[in-house]
Amino acid sequence: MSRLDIPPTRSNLLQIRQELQFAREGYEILDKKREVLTSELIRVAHDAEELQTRMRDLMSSAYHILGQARLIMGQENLEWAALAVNKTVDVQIQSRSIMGVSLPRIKARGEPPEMPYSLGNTTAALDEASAAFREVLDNLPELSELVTSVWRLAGELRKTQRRVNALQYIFIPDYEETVAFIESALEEREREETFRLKLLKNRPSNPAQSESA
Amino acid sequence: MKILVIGHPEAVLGFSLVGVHGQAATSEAEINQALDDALASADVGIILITEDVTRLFEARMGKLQKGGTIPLIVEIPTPQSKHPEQSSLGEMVRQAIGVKV
Repeated sequence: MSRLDIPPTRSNLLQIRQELQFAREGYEILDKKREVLTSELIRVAHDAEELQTRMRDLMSSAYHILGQARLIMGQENLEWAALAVNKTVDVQIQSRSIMGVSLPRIKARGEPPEMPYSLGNTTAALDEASAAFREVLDNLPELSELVTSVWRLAGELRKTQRRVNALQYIFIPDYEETVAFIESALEEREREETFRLKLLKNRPSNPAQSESA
Repeated sequence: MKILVIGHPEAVLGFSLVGVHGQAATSEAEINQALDDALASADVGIILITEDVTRLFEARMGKLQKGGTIPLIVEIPTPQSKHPEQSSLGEMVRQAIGVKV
């Protein structure tokens, strides 16, 4: 904490007081922003983590099934079958804003074809793998939405937190100290002034006059 | 808009079964190349990147995830990945709020 290096004058006092008032208002607003972001983040983070865990399970089983399909069909046939698939989910991304943070909102349209590859030279294992990945894909828009929201909210929250702390622990105390310093300096000067006046009043005002009296 | 996969060949193959296009990439140069292409295209809405390659360019990843609006960058697991003790998501939240949720 350190006081600002400015001369203690009345006009400076007024200015600093005004700035302090402004800083306090800013602090209040940022503090509210922090609260809103925190509650939003907690809400989203919970869902995101849950979905991420579920997604992990889904994907690890999907990979497992894909591995089995490869064992049965061979890598080459698998890639051939994959080449035949050309229709898929289309996503539409909109955004909503919370306290200036834009959060995505994703809508998925359409879906992959039920039976994209020829049945002749593929196996049931491939169908299973395809179904497993389809389930993964179904959850993807929501996962993307949640995960991205968490990242952005957390980033913004940290930024806000830093600002709130800077105001609360550095800026405002500095200004308060400066205000106190200027006030005491001005009061001191006033007392000096009063004392000087008193002294002048008690002293014989005109030496020549007092001599003649 | 479309979804795009970048990273582990297995993930790329798996997602191609449901019609999601992908770009297999394992080295840093390949990923940056694939990512640049994806970012240049206006039609890509979500980019899925496998966990094994996100470690290669964490700085850029963080910037992309927090920055711009589109495309969204999402991490997905690879066949090898195990359940981590603490996901990067949880870590991020913990850093931001100061408590674990």
